[in-house]
Amino acid sequence: MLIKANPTPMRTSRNFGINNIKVELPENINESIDFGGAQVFCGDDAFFTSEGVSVPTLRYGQGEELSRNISEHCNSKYKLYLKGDGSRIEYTMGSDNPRLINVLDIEAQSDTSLTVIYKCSDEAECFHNGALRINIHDGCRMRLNVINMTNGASFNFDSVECTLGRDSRLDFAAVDFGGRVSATNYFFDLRGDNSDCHFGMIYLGGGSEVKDINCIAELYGKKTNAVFDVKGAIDGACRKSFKGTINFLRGCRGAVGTEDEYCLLLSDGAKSTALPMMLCTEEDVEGNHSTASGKADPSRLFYIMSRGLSYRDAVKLIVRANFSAVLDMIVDEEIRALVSDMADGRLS
Amino acid sequence: MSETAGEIKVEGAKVKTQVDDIDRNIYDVKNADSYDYKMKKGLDREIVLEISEMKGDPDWMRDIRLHALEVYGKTPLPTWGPDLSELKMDDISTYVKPKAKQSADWDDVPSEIKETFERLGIPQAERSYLAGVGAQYDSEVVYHNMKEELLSAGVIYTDMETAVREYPEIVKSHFMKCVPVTDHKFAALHAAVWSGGSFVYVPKDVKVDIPIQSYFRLNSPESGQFEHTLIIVEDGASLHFIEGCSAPKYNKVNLHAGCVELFVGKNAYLRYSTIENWSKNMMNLNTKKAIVDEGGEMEWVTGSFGSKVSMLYPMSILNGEGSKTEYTGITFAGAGQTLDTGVKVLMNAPNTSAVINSKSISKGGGSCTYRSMTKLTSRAHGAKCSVSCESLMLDDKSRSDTIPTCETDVDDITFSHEAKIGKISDREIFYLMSRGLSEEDAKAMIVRGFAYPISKELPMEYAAEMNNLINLELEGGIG
Repeated sequence: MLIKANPTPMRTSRNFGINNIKVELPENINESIDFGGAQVFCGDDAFFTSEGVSVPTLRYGQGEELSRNISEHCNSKYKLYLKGDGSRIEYTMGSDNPRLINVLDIEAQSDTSLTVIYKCSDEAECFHNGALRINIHDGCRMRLNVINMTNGASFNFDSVECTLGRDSRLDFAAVDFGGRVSATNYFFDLRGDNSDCHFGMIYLGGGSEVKDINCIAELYGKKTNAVFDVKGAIDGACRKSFKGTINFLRGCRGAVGTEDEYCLLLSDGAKSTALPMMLCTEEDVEGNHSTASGKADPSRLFYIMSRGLSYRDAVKLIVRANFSAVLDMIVDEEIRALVSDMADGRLS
Repeated sequence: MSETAGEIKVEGAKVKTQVDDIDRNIYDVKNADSYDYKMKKGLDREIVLEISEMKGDPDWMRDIRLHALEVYGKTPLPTWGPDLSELKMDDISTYVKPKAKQSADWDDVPSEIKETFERLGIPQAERSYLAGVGAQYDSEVVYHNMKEELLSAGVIYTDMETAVREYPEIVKSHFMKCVPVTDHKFAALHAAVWSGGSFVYVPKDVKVDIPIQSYFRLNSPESGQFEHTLIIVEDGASLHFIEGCSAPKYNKVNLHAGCVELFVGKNAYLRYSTIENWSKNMMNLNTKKAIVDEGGEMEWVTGSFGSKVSMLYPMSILNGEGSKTEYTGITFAGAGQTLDTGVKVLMNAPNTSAVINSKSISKGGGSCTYRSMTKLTSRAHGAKCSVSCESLMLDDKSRSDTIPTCETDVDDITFSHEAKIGKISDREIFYLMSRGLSEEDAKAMIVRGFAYPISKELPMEYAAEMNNLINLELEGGIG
């Protein structure tokens, strides 16, 4: 079935082809099946339950069809109360657990960290559609890592909604290395004064993969700060869309919003589209955005290759340098190393 | 508390700097709604056929009109952008023939119409710095003239109806070819009911050093203006074309759905400057496109100050290797205005380049949107594209949005886009004040400096008009 997913918060001309993504999905995604591939590792003082967890209504999310898919066929629900570092949830899909339709509801009640990993145990076609809602309480800091390592035959639809309380801070690193089609939706609701959101994302795409990234920040609170830093590289005939929206709402005096997106094109057939939007109804704000795409800088390549590296290794080094700021935001050292190795592997 | 010149100020409170709206006195003078003929309101086949007959269209043009009407009926309104619900085609008259015949002598133009154009400074501009002038009043061109030396160089500058009659082959092979009838609903509407406009043909290697200007004035209430501008600049030729437009304000909605088609030949150059100053009851849904051949250059200079709603995105289609385009635009939205403007660039050949520089100022509840599309196709090897847009908000009743789409299908390109939004920087004010300027002078200088990169590209008279627009009443701080 053909669906439209991941809509932008404000439509632009249909001819530009970026308002949403059209995806042909298997019919069976709307059949309810159990999922047995979740592992929850609770960190310091954390508590989780799978009882009485309701499906959240996300402000944006992946659109009508996929929202209904979650509310009617959700097969994994957890509510986590985080009070310290070190929590991790791993979802492993595969031929035994081909469909994950999950809800995660998180209360960050002090300085906390959480890593969420989506992966596959084999090469079977899998389907993931998830809703992750996070409430960061006043004065708390959360470090969040969401890592998509699903196989190249799978579909990944992930929606994350974070509400930031007064004086709170979110450091969010997202890694999107997997999926035949991967559509991700990140919404940051900066309603608390002085709340601070740093979102870093890295992605890699190749073959005929599709990456659709939709980041939205709404700045309500005074002196709020939102930063998007999205970097990636695409190869083959990969199609990537980046949609970033920073919305300064009336009353967010002194707010600052910055979005940067850079896409390294590693082949002639790869296609990059970007829509970095800024919407503003408050005068006393500062908003900046920039987006750039192109192949690796020849002078940089020349410099590195003159030190004896092959072209491919030089490109790999450049990509890793681009990725380093986001890799540094990954809390767990082992996972950071794993992601780094995956990036090297995909670029080899 | 202190009291100065009748104004009560609270000590320490921030007093806003006023940035004036444009002085519309000269634009808002209404003439009596007198005409030779005014089409009944609405849009149907009968109306289109009647316009076609009054124009003496050849069969091929009538067929285009009828096909466009069909497309119009089938095409939905845009599901994005400003609210167009106030536009009711049943309340709009698509053709108004003024009580004047076209002339090449201002003395032959009826005095009331002539006085209108004199107030707008058109005859004076013609004498001072233009090589040719066309003046359209409602649906018909009432004045058209060009300097003798351009005539002898083979330049053609005439109204569209004459062009259809006298140069049918050229017009037929270009009309609605750059902007297809199916482009959008209002392009179809335009093709169905177009009337008036300008045709310019600059032969190979002819350089027109002095600008040519067409001015479009819509006087009749509840009517539309649908002028068609077709410009062909042949290989190695050059031209600067200026388009001006205005209308007095009425309580009912007026519609402008013009269409501009530009063809820039090999190594040719065309600058198209527009000062859009429609009244605040105008829906300005205009379409402008240019096709640029190898080594050709297309420059858009646009100032959008008027209208209630504008949707205007000039487009350059760079089809020839090494062709270039530049867009320099400023939009100023005051109370009650929603100006959705921007640019589209299709880079469809190797080593093409595009530079886009857009600025907007919104105040008093006005809304500015910069919307753009830049697409680098798989043929655009070695292309370079740089986009910069800046928005200044002068109060918290206004709105300023930036919605740029950038698409690249090829790897060996350089593409960058940057945008800024915000108020006047305290650091800049501090810097200027440390050099001895008062706070007010510093702020005035910053706002003028903000607009300067655009105003320096405008014809001098329009730059002066824009500087008047940014007439700061130095009462205090912006922001």
